[in-house]
Amino acid sequence: MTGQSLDKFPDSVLEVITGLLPQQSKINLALTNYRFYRLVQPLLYETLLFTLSSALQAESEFRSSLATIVGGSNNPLVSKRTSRRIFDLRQEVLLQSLTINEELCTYVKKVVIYTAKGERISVGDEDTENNEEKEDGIEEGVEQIELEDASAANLELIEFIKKHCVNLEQFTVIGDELNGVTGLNGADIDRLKKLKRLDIDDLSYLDYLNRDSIKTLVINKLVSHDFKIKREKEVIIEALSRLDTLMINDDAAQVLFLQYLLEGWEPERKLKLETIKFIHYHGFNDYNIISRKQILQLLRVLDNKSLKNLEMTIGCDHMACNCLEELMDETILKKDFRLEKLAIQQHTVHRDHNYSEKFDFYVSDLLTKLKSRDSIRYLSISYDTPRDFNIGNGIAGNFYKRKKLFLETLPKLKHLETLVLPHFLENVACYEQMMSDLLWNGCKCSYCKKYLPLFDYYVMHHQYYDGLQGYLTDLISPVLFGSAGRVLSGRLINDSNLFTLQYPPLDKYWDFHEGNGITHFKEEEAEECEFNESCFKPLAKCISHFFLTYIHLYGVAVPGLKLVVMNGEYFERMKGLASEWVCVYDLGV
Amino acid sequence: MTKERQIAIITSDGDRFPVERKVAEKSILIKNMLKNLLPVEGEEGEDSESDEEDDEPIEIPTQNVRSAVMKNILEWCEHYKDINFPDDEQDDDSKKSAPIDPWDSNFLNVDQEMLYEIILAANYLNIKPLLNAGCKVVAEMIRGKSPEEIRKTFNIVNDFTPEEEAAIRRENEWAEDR
Repeated sequence: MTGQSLDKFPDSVLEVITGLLPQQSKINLALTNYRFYRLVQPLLYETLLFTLSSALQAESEFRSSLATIVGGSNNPLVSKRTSRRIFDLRQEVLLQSLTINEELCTYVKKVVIYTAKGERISVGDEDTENNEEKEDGIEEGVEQIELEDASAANLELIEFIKKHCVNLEQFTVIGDELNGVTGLNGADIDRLKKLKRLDIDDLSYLDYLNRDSIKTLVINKLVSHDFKIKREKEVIIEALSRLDTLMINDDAAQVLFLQYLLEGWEPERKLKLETIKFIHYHGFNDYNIISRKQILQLLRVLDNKSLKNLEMTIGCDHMACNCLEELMDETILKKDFRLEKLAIQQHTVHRDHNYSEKFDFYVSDLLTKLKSRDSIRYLSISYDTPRDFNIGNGIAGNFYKRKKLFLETLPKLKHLETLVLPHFLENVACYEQMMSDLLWNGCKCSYCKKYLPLFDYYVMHHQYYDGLQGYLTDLISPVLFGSAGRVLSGRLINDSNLFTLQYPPLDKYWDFHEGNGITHFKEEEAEECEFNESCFKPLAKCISHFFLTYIHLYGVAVPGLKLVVMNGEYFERMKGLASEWVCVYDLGV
Repeated sequence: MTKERQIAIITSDGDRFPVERKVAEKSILIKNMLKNLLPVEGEEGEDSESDEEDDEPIEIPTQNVRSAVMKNILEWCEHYKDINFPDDEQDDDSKKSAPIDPWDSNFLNVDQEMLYEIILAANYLNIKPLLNAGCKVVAEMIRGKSPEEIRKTFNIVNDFTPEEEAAIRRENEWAEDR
């Protein structure tokens, strides 16, 4: 009550404070008085993230301040339709505000439109059986058609932003199901003079790299494989040499881009990139042999002093082939990059343990041999798993082998501070014994003792579609935990595994019935089934307890480790407290 | 040349705090001052004017910080004297979202007035990690409070008319938790 006035602080300090607040607190502070209103607005509108979810919040954390989310409801129990409706209404109001107060447009610097993998953005038939809709006052009929065709964001608003937010530095669209939301076109890029990051889906836009402000180029899946670059190649190469970040997100786009880039490349010329992301995948029938050759060539032209952050999607689907060794030895090790951040993503079409072990082997080999491994502070390893978590040779012994290798490799990164494993749980879920052990003999704390039997009950009363066998069969623990893992990993925005921490984690829920054709044995059971989104947090908490045993092992292996992210669960090391590691969003015991 | 010259910080109310160089250098302001006044041996610019004054301690006046606050600031600097805070901008986001260190949190568990003065001093002396920790503490105090509660806690005078307040509420309504 008798507090000192915040007014004492200079703007620079108040900006730091405001920058740490979640969006609701920013709004509340803006409402207190005019000075704070002026300070808060630019920060509230700076980074807009369009997605159906809301921000994941915890009592004490500052990640939710990283972006202002234009999202759905934060109540997991409202129907998808209602949440979608809230998302739409928010966008309508935002459009109004930007139209009325044009100054707000000048505050917008980053826009990200995101739909998670497999997330249904439009809400169609499957939800209409939920009669609760009527209570929400939504008129059926007209409304429904609108929702079925829904885009990832309000197209009118998005076009308005592209036209009027002249200070935009980044406009990124991530996701498969976008229904009409597109990235910037030539005219937009031309108009937005302050762009720092350019995301393109057409190589013709390389023509627009003609300004110094653009430091990051992101090449996504192309809309067309034909492209025409008007300017001379030398000019484009000059422009590309000014970049510090190059991220390639698609194999086919990579082939075309690198073909253009590397053709006639003078051997002495070096690309001084700080960050690169590429794909090196040896597919089934050698169809992409050119792609791999190009990557080796690309790595040779990278300046080894400037490169700090490396992200690669790697995979080799030929058991007897050693192309990954060539990638690691011939290029990365020979170049002796001084990496600070490293992200490796597995890619395979196989469903067999042996391919994962092969992946692990090369990752471990790289980390062991990398001379400058002491400089690595951030490591992300992302696994590729089949949708039904069913792999060949998925026996516990095989998993223990992989765990042991990982724990032996990790201590070699002496200065590692952050470890991110976005798909750890789906990966373990492929080993059925591990999951059954968790469900039946898992954590012995009073919380897990109370809830794990509930999930056992769930497993006993549901069936799923076994795609390999082709019939419905009793639900098994891998499907339970794997599905939960998939939803939890959806908390992390899938832009680049190097920069996972740039985005606030999203609040995601699983309804216990989506994916892998999960149903009940009898129809009556469907009506009585009480498993829904409200049971997800307890499951997440049990999972976080399972993760903790791994976290402690990693913590011992690397004493300097500060943050571990597993499937969207954040664990922070709290020095000086009784329990050394704390799970931020699903608080442990 | 042989022994390190003494450094003393003089507060606004005239108190004198002798400090070790590396403690004082937690403040980038003082560090930069010392860089000019007292180049580190072996580094460039060793042509120190004359030897006669070498025994005199260097006095650094800090007009904006009173002695009770300086005592706290120096306690913090002492605690972190052997820790290097890298000042690369790169990891800004992860640093920003890191939790408050429990030691800092305990250190900053002081009355509101002292907290403010520590923040202001850290800002003036340019001690980024301390400034950030202080700001995080204030941010946590703002979190979860309604506009009215924020006004009360922090003594903020409402200078809006009810109409203005409603207009602002409407303008930002799209971002409200729902």
